[in-house]
Amino acid sequence: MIQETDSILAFVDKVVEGTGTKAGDIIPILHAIQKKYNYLPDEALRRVCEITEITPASITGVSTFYSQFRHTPIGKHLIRVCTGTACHVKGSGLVYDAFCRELHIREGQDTDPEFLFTVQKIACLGCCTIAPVVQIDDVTYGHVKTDGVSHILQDFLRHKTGGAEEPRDRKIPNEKIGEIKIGLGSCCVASGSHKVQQALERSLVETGINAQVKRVGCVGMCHRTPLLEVNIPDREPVLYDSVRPEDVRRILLRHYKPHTLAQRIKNAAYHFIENIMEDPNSNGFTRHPLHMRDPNIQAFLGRQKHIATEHSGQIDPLDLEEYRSRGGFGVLANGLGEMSPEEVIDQVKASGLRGRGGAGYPSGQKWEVVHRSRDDTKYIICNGDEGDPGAFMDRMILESYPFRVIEGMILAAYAVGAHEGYFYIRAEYPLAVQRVKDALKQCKECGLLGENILGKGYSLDMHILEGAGAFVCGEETALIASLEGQRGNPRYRPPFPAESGLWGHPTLISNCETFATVPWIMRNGAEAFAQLGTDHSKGTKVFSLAGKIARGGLIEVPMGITIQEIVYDIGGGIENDRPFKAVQIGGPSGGCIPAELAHTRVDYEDLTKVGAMMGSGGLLVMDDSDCMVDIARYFLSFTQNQSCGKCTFCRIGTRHMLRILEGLCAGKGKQDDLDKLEEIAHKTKRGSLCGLGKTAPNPVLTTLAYFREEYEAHIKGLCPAKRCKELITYTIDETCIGCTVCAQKCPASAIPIAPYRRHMIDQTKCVKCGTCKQVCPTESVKVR
Amino acid sequence: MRDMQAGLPHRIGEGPMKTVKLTIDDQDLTVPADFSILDAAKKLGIDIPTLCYLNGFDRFTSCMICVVYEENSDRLMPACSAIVAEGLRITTENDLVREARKDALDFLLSEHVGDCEAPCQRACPAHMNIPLMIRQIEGRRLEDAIQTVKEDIALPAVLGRICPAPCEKGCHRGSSDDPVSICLLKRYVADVDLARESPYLPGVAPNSSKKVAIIGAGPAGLSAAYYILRFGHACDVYDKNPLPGGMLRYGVSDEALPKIILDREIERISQLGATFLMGHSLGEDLGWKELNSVYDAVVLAVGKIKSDVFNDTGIELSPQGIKIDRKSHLTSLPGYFAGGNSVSESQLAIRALAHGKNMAFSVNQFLNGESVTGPSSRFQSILGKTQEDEAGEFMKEAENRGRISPVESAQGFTEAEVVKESGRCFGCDCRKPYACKLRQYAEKYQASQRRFTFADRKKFQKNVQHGMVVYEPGKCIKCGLCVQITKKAGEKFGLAFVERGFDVRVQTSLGVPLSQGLEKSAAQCVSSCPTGALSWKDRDKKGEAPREG
Repeated sequence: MIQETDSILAFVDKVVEGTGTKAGDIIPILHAIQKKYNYLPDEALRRVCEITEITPASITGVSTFYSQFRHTPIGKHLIRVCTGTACHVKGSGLVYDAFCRELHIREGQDTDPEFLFTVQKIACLGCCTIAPVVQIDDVTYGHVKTDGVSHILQDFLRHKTGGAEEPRDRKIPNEKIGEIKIGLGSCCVASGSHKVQQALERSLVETGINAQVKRVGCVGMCHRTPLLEVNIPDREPVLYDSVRPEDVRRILLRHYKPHTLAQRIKNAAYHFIENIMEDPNSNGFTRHPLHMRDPNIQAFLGRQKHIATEHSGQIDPLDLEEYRSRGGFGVLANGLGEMSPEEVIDQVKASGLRGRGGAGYPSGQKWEVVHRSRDDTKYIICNGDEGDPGAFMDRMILESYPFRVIEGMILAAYAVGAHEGYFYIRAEYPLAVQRVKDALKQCKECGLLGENILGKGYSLDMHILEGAGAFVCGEETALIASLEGQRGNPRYRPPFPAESGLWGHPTLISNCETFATVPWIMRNGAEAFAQLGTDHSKGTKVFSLAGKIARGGLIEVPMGITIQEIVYDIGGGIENDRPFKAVQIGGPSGGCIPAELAHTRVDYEDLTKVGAMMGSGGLLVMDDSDCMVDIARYFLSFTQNQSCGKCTFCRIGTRHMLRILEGLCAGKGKQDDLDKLEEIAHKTKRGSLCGLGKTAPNPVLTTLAYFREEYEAHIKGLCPAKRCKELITYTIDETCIGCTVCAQKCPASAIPIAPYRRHMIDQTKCVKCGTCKQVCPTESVKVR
Repeated sequence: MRDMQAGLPHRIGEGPMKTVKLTIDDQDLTVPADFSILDAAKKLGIDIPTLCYLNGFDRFTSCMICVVYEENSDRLMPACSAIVAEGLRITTENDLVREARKDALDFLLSEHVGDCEAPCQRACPAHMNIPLMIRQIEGRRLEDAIQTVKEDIALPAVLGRICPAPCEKGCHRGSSDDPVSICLLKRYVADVDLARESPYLPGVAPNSSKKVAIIGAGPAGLSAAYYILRFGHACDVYDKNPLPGGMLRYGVSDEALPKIILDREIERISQLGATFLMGHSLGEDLGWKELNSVYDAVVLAVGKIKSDVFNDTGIELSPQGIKIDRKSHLTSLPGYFAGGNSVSESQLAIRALAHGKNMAFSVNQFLNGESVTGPSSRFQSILGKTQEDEAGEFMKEAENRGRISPVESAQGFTEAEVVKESGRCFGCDCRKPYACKLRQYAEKYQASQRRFTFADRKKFQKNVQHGMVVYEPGKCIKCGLCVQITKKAGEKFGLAFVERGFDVRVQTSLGVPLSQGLEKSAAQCVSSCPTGALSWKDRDKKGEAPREG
């Protein structure tokens, strides 16, 4: 025991040596301790207070504020069930329940009796297109079904490897024979692209084919990951979607001849055996190559305009030379020193760029305020704390285009006169953090950052800080408090950070997408940017299109495009051809726009007019099986959970709204609930201190405005979308063929096995997990 | 989340200024540019309510009670944090502001876990401060205890024998084992007092030379007389029976209430200066004309109305009895007040006594030419039914033993028994019933604890680890002042916010005992805490304003 304590103390000492002893170093210190011990041992926290400036009060406050930090030991492995919006509408709640059942976790606990697994809900992993998503340690699983959890656990225990690690480079590829691109965004990795990549590397070695493997960032077509693109000089590139590791070898052999005779023979034999072993009708080679002229791909890409996501799916995220060869850092190299800060600001102003973080404040004006301040110390911060469930634009941008964001930040920092910058990135995005770290390192090595950048006499240093699980830290004053090592409490504005921000100095804080847009503007001119979009909303906006959509993914569209066009032209309409009900735009701060208003344009003002908000850029599509009361409840449970708890209205108002919504979803609604709900929503909106509380009522107010009849139905005990568990029953009708699959899969043993006879569900045992409906081959399970 | 709050374009871009001009409540003023609206208002002597603000500490902008209205932007802004700007037009109080303040208070109260006054006191029709009496008994300060009792009950020895004790039905201890034996404790206090050579007599105000007639010497009339005399007015008490006491004398068996006890307590009222005029019946030998001409006010405590004596008097009747305003006890005839069974029937003597006290209050208002409202009732936060696992929290300051019954029930408690029994009291009344700003504002803005309610409230908790301070997290409004104070005082551990959102609460750093958290700054924390969350363990200690007159 004493030894253990000693080793903890020694470890803390080592950590602090690396991070520093300032109050602002607290979050990295806590991350390091937790990484080692899986939680924060009390002795460790006390030690931190002894050897740093961090006080017991501050470590207590901070370590309990952020949801990533734990104060008690957990199981050996951590299962994080994503409860982001897309996952929610695709049944993540049931998935969570299924894990708890499978692991025999008792009510009110989160760890199995053997302390092997701890199950946790997590706000959003940002892998919305492959929802529902589950992460076990660093392995991500997509498209999880309730009847698949035991398979996932087995798979995890069998492999226990993989995850977000960067692939190793292979030796001396022959450029002439072309390259094979593989998407390695987090979504792709979660869909198995990492395993595909491993198979690819292996197959290349085995076949002796010397093609170059190129990892690229997000292709945007997340609905079809993993993606593999074969590029042979002078030939049409061929894109393979939904690739499995076992397909890789065949894909290779379709395009290349093995190198030596011996290998050719070996391959022929392999082919032969494989053909015998595989049933060509089921698990065989079913993946079809897609040519880029495929109408689906054309439709998906056709209406898009890539600015922040320029060269989408084409460039290696961490290949600085490639980025530069395509014009990256060009303005910086040529312009810095020749263009005055005022000229840079004028360009940004003329472009009409508005902040992409949500509020849409004119970027140029903000830059000007910071620029004009006479303070010698100024800061620049990139807000990468994308916490909105159902949004993954920032993750994709940071993972795929780290250099672009850095370039935008350097230009901005130069314009406002900042010499120190920070990336604040959610801890849930380890790959983004890693890529930005690597990119910053490369930039420093080649003089794009640091003292006297490119010899132009301007200096800028940049750091990176990981968040720790607090949605509210996306609010700029809360983010700054977090950077300073405090609890992420927002404060009253003014003064705005542009006047008094980090450590009281003028601070330019903007979202990643805003910074990623700047290099394009500087390279192509403000005019080119301003030509896109509407009167007051210029340029493009990146959206994460997810939910019940045929072709989900990361898209970048010109402002002014209608929701209708996004859903049908780009997204290919609703998944499984169900009726289009609504889109949820702007996440927990936004609102639900009904299908009737799908002609609404993507424009800051137009969206606000219908009660929604540009906000995050999360665009979640819903069909007739999505319950609007449930969606409102879902968002309120999110915001309520993420409220910092500082101001009266948000802390208590959101809780009251949630209480009413939970009552409605449980069939315990009362007649005056809707009036009360509306009243509390308006009061919370008006009275709250920061954006979180002021916008948290939006999902409630919009659903009340557009789907009031659904609320009224709930008061009567009916859920028209057949979604709310307490208001529905599962039954099996006479078309049942008695195959017994449902009875075998039912986790609650609520269906007695009755071969060749119609099965019945024991309602007293039924947990309404929906597994029977998923597995029934004859669609005989009905929900009422 | 992303940053969603649209900026205020008119602020951004303004450089630093030395002074600014603005208008507050139609008064123009010029103040330094770094003033908050609160600072500026203070300069004009305008008081804006605050809970989370304390001069000399960082603005936390948490409670939102200080909102004021700004005309140009048509917005509410928190006065403690909003910095003045050129041309602001502030209104510190209007309907919108009052509504927003009430909203904030209603929200805060909806999660407020605690009673302002103990449920026994609320349940007592006479609203006697029972917990205070019990603490005085426990501290063997019986002379203080009788004052506390007779502040609200004129005939405690009588009531101690016949009262069905509605107070005990409210007692929180009742939900863990049995309620404290309040009624017998009170009887003990009164009996000891009566046995003294010169029993307690309250002080009376200077003679007002006003004279009041009290018709009926039953419990309501006697009680009215007791308090009217204390207000400095003379009293003539009429009754048709040969002896005073009404139902107490003629409707209760001698076994239940030995008449000697009744006589002795009535004697105290005589000693205060009451004149008893026995054998007079209203409408017979006691005429309305006489009442009108001789007396400045008349209290009707005649018991159940049987005759048609009120015909043509201007005093209206209802099916239950004399029609009165429930709060002031005013009848339809100015200067005439009515209470007890004459307004509605009840077997509860304590209710009649309460009516008597309330009538006295109204009579005094009437005689002083004030508007007649009756005693004002204070705001009450109500904990509600206690939950199973809360008894342990309450028990931290109470003795864990069963309810004591007097060995000889006819004799009441012995000295040893009262001390034991009084130790059972949970002491659930708030330690800051007067200093609590939340309660003061709740009264001012007519806040309601029942407007927004939770199906399951937070648990009642009490931290008594500190030698001198008690911390009740359920009463905390999360203003964070104590967190700041302990930090500024350089406490080694101090207090910190833990968790977030609805679950946010104040705790000692690293979970050390409260005594270690508050080594230097306990006094400042207690006096700055706007509610009863942090209070002195010793209820007589400074930090709580004295009881109002």
